[in-house]
Amino acid sequence: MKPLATVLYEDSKTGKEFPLHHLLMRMVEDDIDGQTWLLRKLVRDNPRNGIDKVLADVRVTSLIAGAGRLFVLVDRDRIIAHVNQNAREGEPRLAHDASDDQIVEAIRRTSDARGKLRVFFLHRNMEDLIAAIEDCAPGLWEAEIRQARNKDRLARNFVLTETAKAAMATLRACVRSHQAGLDALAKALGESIPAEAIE
Amino acid sequence: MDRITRVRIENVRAIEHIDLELSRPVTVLIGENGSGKSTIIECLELLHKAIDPRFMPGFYAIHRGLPALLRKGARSMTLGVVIEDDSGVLPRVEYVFTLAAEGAGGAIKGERMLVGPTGTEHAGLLPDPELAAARAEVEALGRTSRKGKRARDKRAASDQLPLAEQRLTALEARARRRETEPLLLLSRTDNAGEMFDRAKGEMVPLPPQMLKFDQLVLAGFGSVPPHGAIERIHAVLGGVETHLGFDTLAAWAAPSHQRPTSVRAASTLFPADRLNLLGVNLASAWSDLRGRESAHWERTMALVRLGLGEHVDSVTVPPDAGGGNVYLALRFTKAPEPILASDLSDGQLAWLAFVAMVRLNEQRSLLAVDEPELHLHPQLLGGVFHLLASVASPVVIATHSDHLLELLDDPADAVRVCELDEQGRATLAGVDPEELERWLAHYGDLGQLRAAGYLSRVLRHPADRAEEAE
Repeated sequence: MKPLATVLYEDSKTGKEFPLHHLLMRMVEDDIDGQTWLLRKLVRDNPRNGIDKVLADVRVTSLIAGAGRLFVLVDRDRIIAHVNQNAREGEPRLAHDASDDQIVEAIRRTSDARGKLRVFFLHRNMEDLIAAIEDCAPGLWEAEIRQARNKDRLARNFVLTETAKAAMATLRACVRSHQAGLDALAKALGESIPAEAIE
Repeated sequence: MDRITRVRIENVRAIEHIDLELSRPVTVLIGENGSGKSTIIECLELLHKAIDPRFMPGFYAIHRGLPALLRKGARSMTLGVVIEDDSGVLPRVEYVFTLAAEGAGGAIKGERMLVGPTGTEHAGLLPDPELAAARAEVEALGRTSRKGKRARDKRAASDQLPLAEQRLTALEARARRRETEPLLLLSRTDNAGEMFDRAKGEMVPLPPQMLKFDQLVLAGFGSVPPHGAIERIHAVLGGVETHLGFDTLAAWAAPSHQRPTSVRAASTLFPADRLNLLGVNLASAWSDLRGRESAHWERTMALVRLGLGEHVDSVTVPPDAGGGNVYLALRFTKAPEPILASDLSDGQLAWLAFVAMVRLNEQRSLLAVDEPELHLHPQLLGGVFHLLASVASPVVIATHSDHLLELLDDPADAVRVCELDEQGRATLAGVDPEELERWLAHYGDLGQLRAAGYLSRVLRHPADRAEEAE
């Protein structure tokens, strides 16, 4: 089954599963009806282990997106420096205070199929997503959240996996209100999958 | 030369049905943990053991029997091979056996051998006495009906001729069918079986002594089996050689293991015609290699130096001072004393094992190696890959190494990807050459493509091929 959407992350996998993608897919499922197993087959994740690899992949959007679309989720805090580092000769550099729209435009300019590409940000980064979960559910998974905010990958994966569980819909709704980029990505992904594809 | 060109595996662990084609020199199996790669290697080892007169006891003692191997929910498992002659002179042979759950254990449920089809071989394999007799009869009746001395004989022959011609037509049709369909040579179901009798041109019951509970019929023929095809199956399955990671556990770790590894410790010298599964007869293997003719030994040492450096003088097998056993040791040109296996690195030992494996047994029909990358620096792994690729027989490699994938000249041809489907069934996917070419324009090689997470984009599944065919 050819994917209709591919999501690139700057993060890496620590095992077979990638909990951030699970959380995102659960957010999409919260919004739409349909066969979730089909949805998950139609949306592929690819954690690329570094923003530079994500930016390099954006240049071959047409190849990666195929007949579908390419979505990118990156940390907002260091993106400007990386976009500038990866800019090729003739490509404009971003100002250090560039807006979200300007950054998105700069990234899309490097794509060979900008119409297929959508770029979203975690504001400011993964640790803030964990903080949002903590804010929305104070006291829940206290030890793991503390470790996750200190960049403990296993603790972070635990927190994301738990947040992605079906019973945590209220928590996810709250997290989305804190993380506009993640919320927008979930909505855009849901809109990109035709209803008939997951019936 | 006979080769295994196809392996069939059904209902073994995660595998429901896999038909692995092996016509290329090197087949590389990749896939996540638990996707069936090592199961395929184990099945090749089981096929090798099919010629063992004590197949079932070994099946239980070593492979833990049917309960350990049977796919969940299945009642029987099947293994089979297709053997083809490179030159195309000898007919294709197919051998398959089935083991089924019975009580708490398992039993031999079925066994089949098929030969052909080829027109020429059936002419030799099946001297069809009925057809020959029918032809002679028609000829004789025709002659008599035309030139018989007595009118009565001519009339009788004319009357009988249509029936004889009819029978001849039917027998000729059977002969033509035999030229295009494989011939069933042997068939066993539970404790009954039959085998094709050349003289009679038909299936006859197998003698009861051939139908043993612990032995496949294949293993029950003596040194002169009744059909050449059986001899070929014996030779080819006997020539299957499988290897897991070599047992190079470091000497300092031996106490945790409560034993030194056999490769590093002094061991008893035995004749070695091949390196065994984990390489534990490595010292014996090198002793044997040292006894080969000088040109062979020089070539072997050249391979050792290729991996371990020009300063290697020789591989020796000094006796253990305690008596009775020998060590494996590496002698360097500038070192006064040889370095014993106990002090070699894992990688050095593994390289010595790979060289011995390749050089010792050059008569194998198939070589299967699970995770050759264990213990090896990427450069040495490159050497191992080229060693394996130099083997005359087909080679099957199961690997997690992206570096090994980089070394493949034609990855689309060589690589088969083991995957689990939604039902947890192991499946085999191939690589779409055109799609791969598009991706490699940006991602260098298949190893980089896999590391980048896009391997799934270039795969072609059996279902895709079926759709294309339609």
